[in-house]
Amino acid sequence: MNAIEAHQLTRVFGSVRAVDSATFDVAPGTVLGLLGPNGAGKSTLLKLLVGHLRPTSGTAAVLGRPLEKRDASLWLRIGYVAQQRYLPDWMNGAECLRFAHAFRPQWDEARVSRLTSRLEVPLETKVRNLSRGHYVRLQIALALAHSPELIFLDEPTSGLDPAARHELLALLVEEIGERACTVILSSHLVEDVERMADTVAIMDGGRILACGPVDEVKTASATLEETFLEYVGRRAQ
Amino acid sequence: MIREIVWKEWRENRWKYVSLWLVFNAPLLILALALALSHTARLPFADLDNHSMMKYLPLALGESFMVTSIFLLVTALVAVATFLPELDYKVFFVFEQGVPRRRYVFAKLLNAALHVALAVCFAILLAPAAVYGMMLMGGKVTLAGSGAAFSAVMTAAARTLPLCCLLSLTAFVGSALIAVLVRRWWVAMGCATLFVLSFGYVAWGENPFFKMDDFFEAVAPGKTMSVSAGFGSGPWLKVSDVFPMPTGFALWHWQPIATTVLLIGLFSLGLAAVYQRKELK
Repeated sequence: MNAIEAHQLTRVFGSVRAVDSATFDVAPGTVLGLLGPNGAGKSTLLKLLVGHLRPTSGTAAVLGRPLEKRDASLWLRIGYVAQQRYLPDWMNGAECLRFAHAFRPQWDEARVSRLTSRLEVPLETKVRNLSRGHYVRLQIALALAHSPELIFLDEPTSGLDPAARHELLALLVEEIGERACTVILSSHLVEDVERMADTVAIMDGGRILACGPVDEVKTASATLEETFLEYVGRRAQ
Repeated sequence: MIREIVWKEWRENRWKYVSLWLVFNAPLLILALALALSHTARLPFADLDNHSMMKYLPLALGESFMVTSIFLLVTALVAVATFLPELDYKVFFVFEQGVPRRRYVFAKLLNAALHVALAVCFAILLAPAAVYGMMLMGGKVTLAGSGAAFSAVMTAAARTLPLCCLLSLTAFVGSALIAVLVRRWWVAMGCATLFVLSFGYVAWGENPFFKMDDFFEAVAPGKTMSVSAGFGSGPWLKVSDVFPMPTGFALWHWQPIATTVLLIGLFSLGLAAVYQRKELK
């Protein structure tokens, strides 16, 4: 059974097809890099898969459960790092973690302690006062705390300085490699995807233009960046 | 799970509930301040004895009218302020913890209902108790001579509690539903105000669903009474006749109970449906 199976998944906002007939599978243990320029539909696709949005048409199953039949308990098996800021701004980091702990039976306290200290999450700072970097670190600690089978990372490194980005990616590679979980990483940075992913899907204008193992998607003589630019440029023309 | 949601709700909404308590008890606070600061305001209280205290004590039952009429507006505004701000993004943090959406809405509603009901009960019972306390402090009213009258007024106040709570909760849940449907702060406030005014008009009007005229029958049939108030040099409050012992106050009917319970149920299901369909765009 694949971790994700999507067939003709479509979401329309008014006259805009934010995700247009996305069809792809993700095998368990795969790290899929969802690569696309800003506005390509990556975040919308992730929101459809985690259940924050409903598809206009098409079907998808996440961890064997079809979207239309999914219930809240699926959240105990997945982790999600969103691009939007919606952690309660009056809570501090420790309170966010304590709140989440109460709902998740598989909470791994040792892992959380390790993550928060390694990520240097400022536990006593209110969410409203956290910088983008610290906010993402707190989100990552929350997303990994219950050792999920499937993790969705929506542009986790955007807005971070190069050193913080490098450090965060190293930690993600290590944590994910340790657990052999399935990861969907959306990014517009080819470098991030190349570093983490073994499979890549190139998206633009809501459509998946190419999907497969990184070496197969890359044309023989080109780098992933050149291939990406070629796909996106071809579509623009 | 419930404990965490109650904690979150308390941290997010505690000042809104505190303001509800303050407003509900504002008439009493104003009366206490007036008595403390003004000699003329104290005059009627100073003359009271065990026989004439019944002239004024049942006026405290007016708190039941206030809570179910003008204060419904405050209840509605607290409902809008409680439900509107979280629905844009913040609520998704709770959903991501694996909390079923319907269960979260009902837990949130139950928590809010407890706060509203507690505030209503406290205000309605405190008013006669505090007014009686002020009378006792005047010196001429004695516990032995007026205990039975006080007990009758407190019992009458207690009889109003179930319907007053239900009416307040109907206004609260209805306004919460309006808030999550309308989504714009000022429009929601306006619509909730309109809803409460219409609801109050229907509830207090003559119709088979509420029968409020019987419920709050304060003066015995055939008796007339006038209450006048002024801020001159004489007593601030004058009551022309003595209230009857309020044994018949708050006559229970099944219609208003059934109507409000039905409305609360329908509004709650509406709220749950909105939360269930909410998307993070």
